[in-house]
Amino acid sequence: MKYLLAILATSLAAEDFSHFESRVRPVLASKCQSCHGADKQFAALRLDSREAILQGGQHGPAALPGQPEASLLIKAIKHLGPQMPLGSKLADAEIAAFEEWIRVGLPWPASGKAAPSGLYDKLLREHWAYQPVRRSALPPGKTTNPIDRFLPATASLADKRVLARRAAYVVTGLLPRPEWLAAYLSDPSPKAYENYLDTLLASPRYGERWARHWMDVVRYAETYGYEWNYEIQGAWQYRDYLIRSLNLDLPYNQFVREHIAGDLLPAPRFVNGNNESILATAFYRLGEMGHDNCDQFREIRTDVVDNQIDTLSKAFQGVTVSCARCHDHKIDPIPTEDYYALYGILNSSRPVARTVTRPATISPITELKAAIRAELASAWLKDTASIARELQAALAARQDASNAADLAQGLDPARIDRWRKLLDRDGIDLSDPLSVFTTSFNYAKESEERRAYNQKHFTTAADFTQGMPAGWSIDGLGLPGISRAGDFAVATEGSEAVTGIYPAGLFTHLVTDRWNGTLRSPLLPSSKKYASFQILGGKFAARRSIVDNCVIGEGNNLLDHRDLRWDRVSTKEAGKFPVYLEVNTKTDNPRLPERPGKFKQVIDEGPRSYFGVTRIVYHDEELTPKATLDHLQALAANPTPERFAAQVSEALIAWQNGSPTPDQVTWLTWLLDQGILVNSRNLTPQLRELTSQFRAAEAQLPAPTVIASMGDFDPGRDHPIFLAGAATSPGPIAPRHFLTLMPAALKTVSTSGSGRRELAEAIASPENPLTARVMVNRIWHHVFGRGIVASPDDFGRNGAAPSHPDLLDYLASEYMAHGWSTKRLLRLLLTSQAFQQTGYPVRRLEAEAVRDTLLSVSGRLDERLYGPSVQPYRAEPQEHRRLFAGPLDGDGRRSIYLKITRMEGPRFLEIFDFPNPLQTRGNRDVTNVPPQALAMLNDPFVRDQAQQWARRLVARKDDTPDARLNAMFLAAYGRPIHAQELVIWRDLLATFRAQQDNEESIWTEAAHTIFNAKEFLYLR
Amino acid sequence: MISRRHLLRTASNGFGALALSSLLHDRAYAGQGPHHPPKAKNVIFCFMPGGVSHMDSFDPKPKLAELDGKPAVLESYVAGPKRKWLASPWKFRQYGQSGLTVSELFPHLATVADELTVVRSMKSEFPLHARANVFLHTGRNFGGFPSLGSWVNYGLGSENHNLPGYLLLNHGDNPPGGLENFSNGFLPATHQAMPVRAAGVPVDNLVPAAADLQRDKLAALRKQDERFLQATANDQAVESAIANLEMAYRMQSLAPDVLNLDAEPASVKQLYGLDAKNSHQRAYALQCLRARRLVEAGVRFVEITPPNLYGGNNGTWDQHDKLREGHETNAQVTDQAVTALIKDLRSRGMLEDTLVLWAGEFGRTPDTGNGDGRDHHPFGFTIWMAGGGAKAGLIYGATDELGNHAVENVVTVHDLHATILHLLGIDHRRLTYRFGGRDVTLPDVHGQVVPALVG
Repeated sequence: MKYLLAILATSLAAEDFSHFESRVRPVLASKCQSCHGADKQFAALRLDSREAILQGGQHGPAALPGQPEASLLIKAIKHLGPQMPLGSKLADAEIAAFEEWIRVGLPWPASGKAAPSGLYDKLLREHWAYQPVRRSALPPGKTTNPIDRFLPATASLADKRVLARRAAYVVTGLLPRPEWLAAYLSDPSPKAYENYLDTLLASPRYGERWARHWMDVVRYAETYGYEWNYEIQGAWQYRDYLIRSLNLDLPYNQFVREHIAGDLLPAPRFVNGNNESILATAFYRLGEMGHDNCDQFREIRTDVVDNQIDTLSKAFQGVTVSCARCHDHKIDPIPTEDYYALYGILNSSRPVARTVTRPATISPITELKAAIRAELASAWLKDTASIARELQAALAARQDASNAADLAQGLDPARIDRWRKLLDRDGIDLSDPLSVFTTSFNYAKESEERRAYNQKHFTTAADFTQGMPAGWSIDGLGLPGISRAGDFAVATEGSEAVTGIYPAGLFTHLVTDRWNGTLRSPLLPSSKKYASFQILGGKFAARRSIVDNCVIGEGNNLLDHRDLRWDRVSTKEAGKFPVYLEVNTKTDNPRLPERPGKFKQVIDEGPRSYFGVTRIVYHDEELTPKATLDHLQALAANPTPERFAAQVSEALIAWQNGSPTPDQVTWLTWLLDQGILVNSRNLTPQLRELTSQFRAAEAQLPAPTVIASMGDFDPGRDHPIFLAGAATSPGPIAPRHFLTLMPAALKTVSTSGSGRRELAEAIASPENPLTARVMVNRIWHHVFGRGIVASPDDFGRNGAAPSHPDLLDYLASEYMAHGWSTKRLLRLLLTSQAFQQTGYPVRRLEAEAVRDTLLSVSGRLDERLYGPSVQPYRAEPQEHRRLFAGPLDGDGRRSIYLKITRMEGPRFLEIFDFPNPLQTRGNRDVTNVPPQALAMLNDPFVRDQAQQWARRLVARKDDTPDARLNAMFLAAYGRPIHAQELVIWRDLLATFRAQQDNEESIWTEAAHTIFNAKEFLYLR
Repeated sequence: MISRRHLLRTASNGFGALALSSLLHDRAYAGQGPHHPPKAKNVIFCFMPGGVSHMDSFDPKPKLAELDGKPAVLESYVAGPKRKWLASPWKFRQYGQSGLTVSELFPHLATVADELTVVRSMKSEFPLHARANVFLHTGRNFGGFPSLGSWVNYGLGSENHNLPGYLLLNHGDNPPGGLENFSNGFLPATHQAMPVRAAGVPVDNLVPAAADLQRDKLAALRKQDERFLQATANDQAVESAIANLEMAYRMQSLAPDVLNLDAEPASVKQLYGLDAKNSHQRAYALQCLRARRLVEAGVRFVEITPPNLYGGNNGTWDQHDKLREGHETNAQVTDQAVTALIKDLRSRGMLEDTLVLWAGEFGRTPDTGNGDGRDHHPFGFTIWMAGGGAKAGLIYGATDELGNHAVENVVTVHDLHATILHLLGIDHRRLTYRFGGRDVTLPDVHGQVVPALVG
């Protein structure tokens, strides 16, 4: 027995940490380390490394290798002495696991190092997928298509119609158009088939079909799922990006670069005025995400990054890096350190919304604004010409002076009354210009005290009146940069002329409040408790704090005031997590639209929303900065109505000339707020006309496209290894780099930036052993129904070995040598004998092909490309979860345009194995279950399409029933009806006739039966 | 004697008597297990979403009555200065040989106290509905993994080839986490739950369109498909699809037959409460009785969710406020029918091999923030099982004297999964499916069978 244990001990300790990893480490992490770990060390004991356990705490070593019965740890968990863990005793099996582990010598893999390094080295040397792609010589032979040399033909060529249908489904996901088929069948040239393929590959339907394949790989969905299905901003724009990229045959290496670092490329691609390269980065953001705060629920963030690592590594590299989240990969050479090295790269980028629209020309708007300013200024100058006298009269009346009546002579009593009301306001602050008439104070002293107070209590974080400080960033059409003092926003609705006149700063609505904007802070310092914003905003603009990159967390403060005010936010999480602040207009806020019932107000659908920010300060007390008095210097020195009036007219003239000082803007803003400057577009007929023109021009401005994307705004941060995957047990730091299994030249990333840019190049590199192989295999999989590697998402040791490794490498090197052209590769595959022969594997059409074919055969298919998604049909919509219902036939759009709501996708597609959009799924299930047959038999959508088809058939009154049947076979199966089949269908029609007398009903039933034949659903 | 169960299982009124039985025994229907002699063959899971309050149902805490209204000190994510201990508004009494203490919320269940295996020391990990629901069902806190019902079907296969092996009896909407709770994950889609609604048409697409023409159509299709089958050199996928159409056809009549309660005697209907005044109670009773009939017909795993009367998006038991009203209504809607299910199964001799599981995703806090309700509480709560080889009349584990933490014989969700699989003859470590480069199991690397719960 002892001998046996000794052997066991050696074998366990030498190589196998599985007992420790599966039975011991989880218990240590969940039940011991919260009190005996990195954070707390009760009794000076740590239980988070082998060394620490052997060293022990104040009671001595916690364990003696090989002697469980003598080990303090075992005594404690057996409650023989100290009783641990607190609260509840471990299960007997758990105690036994600890005893066993100590008995064999506490094997514990060195953290962060490839534990079984011998095994890893061997794998790196030997596993086929980690070796460079080697273009092998073509096997001898005469055939021109190189694939045929590797896979000599074994069967005869398929019938032309069978082949035409097969190729059309593979390339376009639909039956061939009748004219394409006719051209192919009647083309006598030896190039007939290749010409036909060219037609298919040139069709925009190709992009729609193949984009969907890729969407399975990137777990595409349009909502974050979880409880409330918040929208993933602009997800459908990413879908359109895929369609466009495929149709123009974007080289795959560029496609890869754009996915991984499209926002960082020095020369991004623009299409239709949009930065196409940034669009691709939405791929990071398509996964599931919770809405709660991640300071409480750490896994909301760690699970998002885990899913990003998982998707990125499977999609592009066919490796399962996520397996190394809690321990070194057991099967493939991926140490946990690799996982956290990637974690550091992805976590150094912020998951933010980006505007991809290129700024538009706004010259008519700029000219109109200048004209409006001129007109307003002159109207206001005219209207304020007598304010010195008015104010003087009001002051006299207020003091019951004897000359009050004389002073009021010839003036409008209502205006004098207005001044009196302004003077009589309660609690006028000293920064209010009228305070000089109502309060006696020492200007110099008060001014200095305020300045000193502000200096003492507040640190300037950002002063946008002076420029953009480092670390702060802006995005959006509405925020091209710092605006000049005195810039203003023309009101876009209502009777007002302007929304406001503003100091220099960041204002999103200076052109139109339909444009978006986002202001982002750097990561907040942990040394301060609060940040305060001098801010204004409305129409669902919000100031948000983002903790640990949880962008749909709860820190969402709506702004609803048009004057600049101080708004305080606690920054207490900054000590524990990366925290930054954002101000967003409505379109940029990932929490909008909010879940139903969260707001009292109903959010309108339109894009209008705005905010402005001038200053941000950090501080430690619950205080608000005081308004300074600089703008009152001249008036305070000479507090007379004449001086007051001169200040007003000087400010107006300076504004008219376009260069008011900041103090003059303070005056103008105040005058406007008090109604002394009348804010009406009806001041003059000319002003009314100009503002009307402005509103018309503004309505024509293009709306911004905003998408969920990524952005590098902070210095790159290395991330600690989470011991056993637990965010509460941070271990050693993992420096950022790409996978250990990569060639050395591809591993290094930038230390200053996030490293995404280098990651993109490493994956797009021809030296990368996996990128081309994985993609070539995906393409092969979709052409033949099964990959050369049967596990397209796993090229590791647990995946399938390639059935034809030389062929795979040949194709991978061809792919790279010819500009990573997917269309060219497809053409190569489709012109092979293997594809054209009769032995092609029979398979059921995918969910989308089934639905799209029903629409196309019935004549309902709407071939429009692109655009917002159509809600899928739902018999029972649940609007409280944002599961809305759409039309039964999805407006006739192809399935790729149906909205994919995580948590409940389109029912009809799910019946036919449409995958859950949660993880990379390069290989869909093909099941055969009763709901599929029931759907074809009874689903209202299928019935509806049968009826639509019948209506069209019956409208051709002159067709004989036989001709009609033949037309139906051609339309649905791509071939004419056979004489023997005609007998079956004539009989069936007779049966229908016996029970129905309406032609449309009879043919509806015939159409419905045609849909139900296996030939409709299966590709051969 | 031929049992009704046997009849239902073999009933086939299909149109053509194609010899398809061999086809139907393809991989999709055969299971991996069992690994050891099973005690249970079927499971009925009465899911109680939102979180039933343990100290108001099966885990009395007299200490709370003493402390009622006093400032509460609770180590919890909801801890805060203004919280107060909250005594249970309901009285408790002991029942049966086991002396199980049950509150007046569940007068019916109290009568079957000796059938129950009550676990008072359950522990989950997540205080949020979606996460905790998905965790309770799949052993993971995020979607994409197979549900317990899917694993059981994958493990044991189906006994009725005319019905799916995992049915979800609901009321048209699903608890937080949505269909992720009932998903087959990466297992073959054969193992996904098929929802059966209480109201209206119970199953999508089950009602034949143009029913009187269907036989003729299918006869023609048989000939047409036969030709296609030949053209594909008798491809197996095509062959199974043809068989599948036949099964679908039979389901159209068999499923409504199983789901239709007309043949049930009035006394049985009354037992379940199908004559109750409350329409929600009737709807739940209907689903419970259907569950028994489905298990009788050989359906492996039936899950029943209650009507969502409170909690909006969060599960009907989620009483952050109006604890009294909410829990009383939910209990009234479910108590009688769940009890009837146990009694009915017992009287038919089916309880021995049918495991009834009653559980929510977590319990509720012993304290209150607003004086009127309790909050989410995963650190210690109560679930129970009945039949299926679970040890009847057992009260297992305990929470501390305030009902806060499970302190004695803690049972985790993973342990519960392992134990349920064990009762079904499955070793949770050996029931694996290779996905994403790993041999995945239901409880992942966690979970231990709790032998004490096994009868």
